[in-house]
Amino acid sequence: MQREKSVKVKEVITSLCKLLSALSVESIPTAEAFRRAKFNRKDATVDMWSLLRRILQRAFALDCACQDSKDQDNNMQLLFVRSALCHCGYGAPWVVGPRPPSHIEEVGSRDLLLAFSWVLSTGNLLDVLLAENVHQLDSLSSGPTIVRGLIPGQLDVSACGPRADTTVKTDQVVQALQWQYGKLRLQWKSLLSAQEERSKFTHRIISNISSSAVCQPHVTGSNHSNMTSTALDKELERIQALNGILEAYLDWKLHEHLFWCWMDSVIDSSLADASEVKPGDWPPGERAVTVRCPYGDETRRAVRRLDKMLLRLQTELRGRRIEQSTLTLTSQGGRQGASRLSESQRMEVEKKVSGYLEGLRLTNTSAITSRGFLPCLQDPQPTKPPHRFHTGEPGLAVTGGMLQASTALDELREREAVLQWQLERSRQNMRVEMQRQASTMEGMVLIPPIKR
Amino acid sequence: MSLLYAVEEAVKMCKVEESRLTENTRQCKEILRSMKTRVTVTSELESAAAIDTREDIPPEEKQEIDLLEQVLKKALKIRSTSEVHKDLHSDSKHPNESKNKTLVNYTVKEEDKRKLVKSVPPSEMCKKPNHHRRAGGNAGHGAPWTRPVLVRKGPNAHSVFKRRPSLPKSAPMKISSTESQQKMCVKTTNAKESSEDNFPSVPCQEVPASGKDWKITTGSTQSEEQWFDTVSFAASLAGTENKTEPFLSEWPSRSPAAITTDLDLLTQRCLDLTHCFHAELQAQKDSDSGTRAWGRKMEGCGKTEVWTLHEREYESLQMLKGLERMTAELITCADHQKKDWERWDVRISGALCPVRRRGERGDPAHSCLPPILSYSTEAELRELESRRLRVEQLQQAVRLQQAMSDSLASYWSSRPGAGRPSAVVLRGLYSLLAEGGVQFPSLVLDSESD
Repeated sequence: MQREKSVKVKEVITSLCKLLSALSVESIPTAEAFRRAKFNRKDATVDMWSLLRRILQRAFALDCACQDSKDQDNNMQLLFVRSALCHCGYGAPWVVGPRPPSHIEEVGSRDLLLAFSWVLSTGNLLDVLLAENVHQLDSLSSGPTIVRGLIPGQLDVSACGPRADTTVKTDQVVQALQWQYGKLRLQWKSLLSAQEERSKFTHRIISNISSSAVCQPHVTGSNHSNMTSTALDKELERIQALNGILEAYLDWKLHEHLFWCWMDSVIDSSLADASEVKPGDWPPGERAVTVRCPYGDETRRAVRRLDKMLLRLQTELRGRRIEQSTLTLTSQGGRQGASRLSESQRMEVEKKVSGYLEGLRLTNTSAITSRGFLPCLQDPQPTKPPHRFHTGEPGLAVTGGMLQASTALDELREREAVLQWQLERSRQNMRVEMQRQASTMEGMVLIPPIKR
Repeated sequence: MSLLYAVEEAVKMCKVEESRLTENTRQCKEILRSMKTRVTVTSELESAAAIDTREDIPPEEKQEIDLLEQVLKKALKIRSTSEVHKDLHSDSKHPNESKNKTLVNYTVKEEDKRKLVKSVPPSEMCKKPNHHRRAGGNAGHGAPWTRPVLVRKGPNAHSVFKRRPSLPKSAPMKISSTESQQKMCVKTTNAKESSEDNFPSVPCQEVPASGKDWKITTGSTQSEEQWFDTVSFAASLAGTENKTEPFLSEWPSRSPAAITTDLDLLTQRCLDLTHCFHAELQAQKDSDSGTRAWGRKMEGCGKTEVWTLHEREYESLQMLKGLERMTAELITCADHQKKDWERWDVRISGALCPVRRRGERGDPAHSCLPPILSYSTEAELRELESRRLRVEQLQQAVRLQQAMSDSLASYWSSRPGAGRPSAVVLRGLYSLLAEGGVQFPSLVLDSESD
């Protein structure tokens, strides 16, 4: 029974290793190395360390200038691994403790194994790598969003510049900004047209695949067959590769629970050992000075910034509310607008307003299509009348177990409307503000462009 | 990060995406071309050889690609449909209903699976007629062994319709049950089993198949175990860390990754609300200055103008109330994040580098696999893809607009000390902030006459 179990565990770990190598993570250790790491053997340390490091490098990147320094430096590598593990929420003493280790041998292979399985269990690491491969290998898939969010609240016109010649710099910056913005608009236009063309061809391929009547009226030259077969062959290879990855993934998922049971036993053995080591065993005082990141308090600053912004907004809102209420109290009856409205009008206005505010909330969530999607042509003749498909539950329309494109389209239309509204409002705001200020300037008359 | 740099980065990213798209289009063109030549070559051979099969036989390579595509899509579809395991258990008791539903869940995939598994005589490979045959429920027409496949698929389909389909979540449990189901499909078709109506009592030739049968009916319990395993492992791991730091009583509940993502989200929403508020203020100021002049003129005038005025007032009042409410919510959320972060900060105290996820900044809690969307016409697909890009473009434009108005608007105001910015700059600012760079205003300057 024990023997069977241990063989099963070895199989499971091997399937994990196969999956990882299918996802192109390099230098995977053998299942034997895993087993040795459980017992904290020294020879497994290097293997475990390189596995942990590579997986983390695939998934994360440093956000500060430290990444520019030499990668080969052991200290930098250790710092990167510790930062990434902490980012995942792993708070072992060797990661976040006040006295971090200065080189890898001080961290046992068992600790490395535990860290590796933590990374695996939180944060969808395998899914992310899988999604990457899907988008790479499946030519018909539509990629994920390309717009990287601008870090809100941090943007400034000129990142650095001496106070004295700010005016001159601003002039140049504004002109450069205009130029770049124009380029951006042009780029979006050409991107949209490239996308249109691609959709056309994607649809043609998909409909070719699904339809069975593939008789072409015109005959193309038969001497092309040797050359053009390569495109199809390459596509075949890619799909086969992707299939291999998916099979490895499904295989892993089938036996995943055994791996976690085994990890439980690793934790038990680690606890058993830890009780023997007293926390005061660390040598005090002088240790090799470990590298610290000078940008480490980035998040602290972000938290403070958010606090300030929210506080300011709240005070302004409150102030405005008080102002308005005093205004209505002191003014004549003509300003008592709200009381003159009928119930239905009030309801209408309230509905409109809640629609706007809901839209504000909506735009910051991710849409159905934000991860990209795989298009699939529906059967033109459904096998059963449509009412069978819906069980009367609200929610996403599903036919044959797949999401309908119409649902995604509706959501996109909604978002587009909200974003247009936001943009137009902001621009209108600016227009009025700038016209007002221009009228106060002497010797200048501003004539706004004609609305087309 | 400077604004200029951000815009340059955006331009670069668009270029990269465009080149990816053109490359993709080129590949698609080549594939289409080779498909056409293959088909014409094969059709020539067909007519030359005069085979007696009257149905359309798709060319071999195309068929292979098709098979693989469908298998891949099936796998992803299984991955992304809603949780199956709970219903699976109850479904095993209703085999007859499930058989009807199998027709509903028909896809080409079952057939392709069969093809993949064994070589089928050409007469049965014809797709379209089979389509209709199976659709008509006319089981007698098709090969006798198509039935077991349908029956197996039943519970899956049934559960898909029963449950409210949620957005794809990464749920390891459903994979185990559906995967075993898939394997059972394959195994039973291999066995060329004659159809049996009762799902649990299907005689399985091979012992492993019956083992998997067992797995399906108890799929729910197994998958729950699995989930518990992962969670308990993470919890016990967290527990061990606590033991070595007895003096710190509280352990943060969320990882720094989740906290930073949420912080960014909250900051963005705060910016949105701030800009909305400023726009609202502006609109009110306008209507105020407008109404005062209006009011005196329009007193005693038609009721409709007055009503619209009142409506607008009420609207802005409601907007402000709503904004205040949302701000209060944001403040509570931000407090939570701050507390969580402080628990981390105590331990790290700024010694570690800030880290971000490579690639897409997705929500770590949700699945990141792309869903399969089924569309019906070419126009729908084109609209879907172009609207998607349009929404992204608008989002970027809104964020840039917010950033620009925050940092540039101050340059417009006449500062007494520094002197007025030049007319060119003013024109440029107006066009960027108010017209999105599309149109320019005209400035008439008072120049000193000589």
